[in-house]
Formats: sequence, C-alpha cells, structure tokens
Amino acid sequence: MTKENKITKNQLEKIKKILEVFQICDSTFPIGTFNHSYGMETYLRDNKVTDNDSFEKWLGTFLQTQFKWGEGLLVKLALEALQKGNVEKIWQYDKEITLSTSAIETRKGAKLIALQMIELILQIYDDDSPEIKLVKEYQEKINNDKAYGNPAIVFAIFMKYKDIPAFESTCYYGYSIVTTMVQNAVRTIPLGQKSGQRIMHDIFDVVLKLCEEISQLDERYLGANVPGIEMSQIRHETTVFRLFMS
Amino acid sequence: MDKYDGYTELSFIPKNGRTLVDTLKYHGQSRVSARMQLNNEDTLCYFLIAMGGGLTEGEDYYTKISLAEDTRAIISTQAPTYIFKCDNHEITHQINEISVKKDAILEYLPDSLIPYRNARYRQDSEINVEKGGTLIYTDGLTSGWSPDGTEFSYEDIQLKTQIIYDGNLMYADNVILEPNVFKMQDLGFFDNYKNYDSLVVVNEKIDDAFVKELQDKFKQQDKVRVGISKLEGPGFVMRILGDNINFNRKVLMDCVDDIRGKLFGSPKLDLRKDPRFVY
Repeated sequence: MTKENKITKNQLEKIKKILEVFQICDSTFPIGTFNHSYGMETYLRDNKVTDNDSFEKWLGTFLQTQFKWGEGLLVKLALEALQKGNVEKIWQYDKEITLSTSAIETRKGAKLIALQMIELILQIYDDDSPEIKLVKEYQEKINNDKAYGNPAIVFAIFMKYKDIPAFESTCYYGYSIVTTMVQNAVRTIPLGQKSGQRIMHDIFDVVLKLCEEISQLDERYLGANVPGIEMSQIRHETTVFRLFMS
Repeated sequence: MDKYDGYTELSFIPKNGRTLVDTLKYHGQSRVSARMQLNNEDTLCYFLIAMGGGLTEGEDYYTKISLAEDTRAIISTQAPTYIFKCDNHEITHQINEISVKKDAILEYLPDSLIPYRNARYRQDSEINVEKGGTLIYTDGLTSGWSPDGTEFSYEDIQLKTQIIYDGNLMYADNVILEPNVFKMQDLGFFDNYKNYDSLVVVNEKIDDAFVKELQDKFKQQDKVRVGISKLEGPGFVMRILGDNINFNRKVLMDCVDDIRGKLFGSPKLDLRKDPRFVY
C-alpha cells in the first residue's frame, strides 16, 4: 500500500459521523415511528390511498406541506438557534410546533417519538458534551410538562452534536421520514417491497427540492398546514379500524 | 386608524347585568351595521360590512373587538366577503385583534371568504381570552370566483389565528393555500371538496369528555367531512370540508347551537340571514 492510498484519520472520522447519522435515520431505529401514519391510515380506510400511485401522491403532498412547514423547517430553525447558542429559542419552537398542530393524536405521537429518540440517543451516547446534556434537559422538561416534545428538535440537537450543517440535516431528516413512511405503506396498504423502494427513490427529488425551499423559510411559516392532511389526522382519532396510533 | 384602508373598532362593557356598546368606530372602506335584532334572544349583535362587498388589492384592513368582563356579543358579517383580484400581485391584508375578558362571551361568526381569480390574501388574527371567558370563532373559505367558473383560481391565501388563553399560547392555526403551486382539488389539500370551514371554541368546561360527546354527535355526516379534536387547553377545533357551502354552514351552526345550549342555555342562533340570498 502506498502512502497516498492510506485512508486518513480525518476521512475515517468523517465517514463514521455519516454512519452514525444513517443509524438514527434508518426506519429500523426503534423510536416507534412504525406506529404512526401521519394521517395516511385515514386515507387508507377511506379508500383514497390504495396503491403505489395514490400513496406516492399522498407522500408528495404530505412532504411538501405539513412536513416542509413543520418538522422539516423545525430541524433547520432549531439547528440554527443551537449554532448561535440560543437555547431559549428551542423551547419556544417546541411550543409553537405543538400548538399549531390541530390533531391531538399527532401531538401525542410527536411527544412519544421524541421521548423514545431521546432515550435511545442517551443509551448510545453518554458523555459530558453540551449537546448530550441538552438532550437530557429536554427529556426532563418533557417529563415535567415544561416542554411538549418533538423529534425534529431532538434530531437537530443530535446534528449539532455531529456538526452537520442545516441543509444536510433537513435532507437527512426528510430521508428518515420517507423511509419510515414507505415501510409503513408496504406493510399496510400493502405495497410490494420493490415498488416501495422505487417510490422512495422517486421521492428523493421532492425531498431535495423542499429542503432547498426550507433553507429560504423563516419562523413565520412554522407549523403551517393544509386542510386535507390536517383533516385526515384529526379524523384518525375516530376511525374505527386502526393499526396506527396516529 | 388612518394608516388602514378599512378600520373597525367595537368594544363592549357591562351595565346592570346587560351589555352596552362602549366604542363603535369605523373608517375608510369598513362599516358596522346598526344593532341587529335577533329572533330568539336579546344578545347584542352587529354585522361587519366591507364597502363594495369585499377587500381590495393591496389594502390593509384592521378590526378590533373587545369584550369587558361579564359582557356578551355576536359579531357576524352582512354577506360573504369577496377578496377582489390582485392583478398586480399585491397582497390584501386583514388583521383581527380580539380580546375577551373573564365571564365574557364572544361569538364571532363571519360568512365565508370568496377569493376572486388571482386574489392574494393574508389574515392575521390574535385572540386573547382571559380565564373564564368564552370564544366561539369561525373561519370559512370557498373555492372562489372567476369569470369562467374555474375553481381555486386565486393565487395564494394564508390564514393565521393565534389564540392566547389565560396568558399562554393555546392554539396557533396557520393554513396556507397556494393554488399557484399545487392543485387544490388533490389528495391532502381539499380532497376534491370545495369549501373549508373551521370552528374554534374556548371555554373552561371543555374537556376530553365534552369533545368525545361532540365527536359522537357530529363526526358522521352524509354531505360533508367533519373532524373534531381537543386543543391543548379548554377548547376544541372543528373542521369541515364539503361541496356545498350551505351544507358546511348547516353543520357549523348546528354545532354552535349545541354549544350555546350546553354552555349557556341559549336558544338556537337565528341571524336572520336567508341562505338563498346570502349564498
């Protein structure tokens, strides 16, 4: 092996960081997202989402509206606040994203996922870094009803910990939502695994485009929504046959 | 108030167990009706009026409504409010500032907004409800109007509503509709429906059981799609999507009547508007 081909310590550290991010974004990372359909199940029971095309349509709309203005934008805003050392902003965003959510199940779901993500991160990473301390503080606040809890904020703290910039972070978070939703759809609609992967690949362009748009948005858009997506999440509460918690 | 193209201010105070109007001001393109006599009750009721039937491109409108302790009032509109076309892409802006003190009851029940082709509109409502106060608040939007009958031909609309209860933010509703970017009939937007209505009610007695009862009563409808969910505090939101504004309105007002009866022993509300005339 020549000296030039030797992998540097820097390269190793960089790729390790990326692998660690992949782990958190993977649909098998057990934070309970497989229990939540973000309202998709209501469309499924109403026979509006029935196959590859209708699922892809739903996923595209969900990502470009509620996700873009909601958790997607929240990752960016929270990370930018953390980069400026403005922790108070994080608690304000936690409140705003939760109170802009009309469906009680969606608020409860976000809290559950946030708590499970926190627990898992704390099991894997237990050090004295300011970010891990902040994750612990968030956990305490949620458990004492001082904060509501949202996974996008936990994710942003983790991205700060791994020193990943805002644009990449929103893309990775988008990826994690897409991979989870595709797996949920494969299981319940059901779709074929291969179709699921094809849809996932097609939707990457949508994710990149909306993350580009997010980079231009400010906090006035946080928590915005559209009627249909919101209605499906509200109505999930009273849907008789349910596999998902929201 | 001169900086607004339309300005309305209405405030109410208590006197010997009744409610009196303390301030009634309007300016520019805005007017307020004379007191409306209602059929079944003597609650004070006024209609807000936009001169020319609607809001004009690029203009700013401001409405301030305050209810002091122990007062009660109903505010509605004379007719649906048109948002006129914005051919120069200038945004029309409505700001609502509402305050409801302890033991006061405000029913704010405007008719729907009808956006013209190319209309651009922003609505910002900030509503402060003191502990013990009651708010019954509606918002409605049709698929709009255009000369050739095309639906959703407006450019973009944002409806923001912040409700602060007992000094704390309780609900921050933010609806964004962009027919210039997305097809509004599609899945997730209007799901092939045309009309959108929203009702928010805040009152100390609203808890999980109260909301469950409403869900059981209203969730199944033939002609419209209805969703009801409890807010983070003593309140709930009801959403309605439907094809015909009168069916939306019927469910909305049935729910308002149900709430009025349950919370205050009030009769069914009759605003004396002929639906055939209004819509």
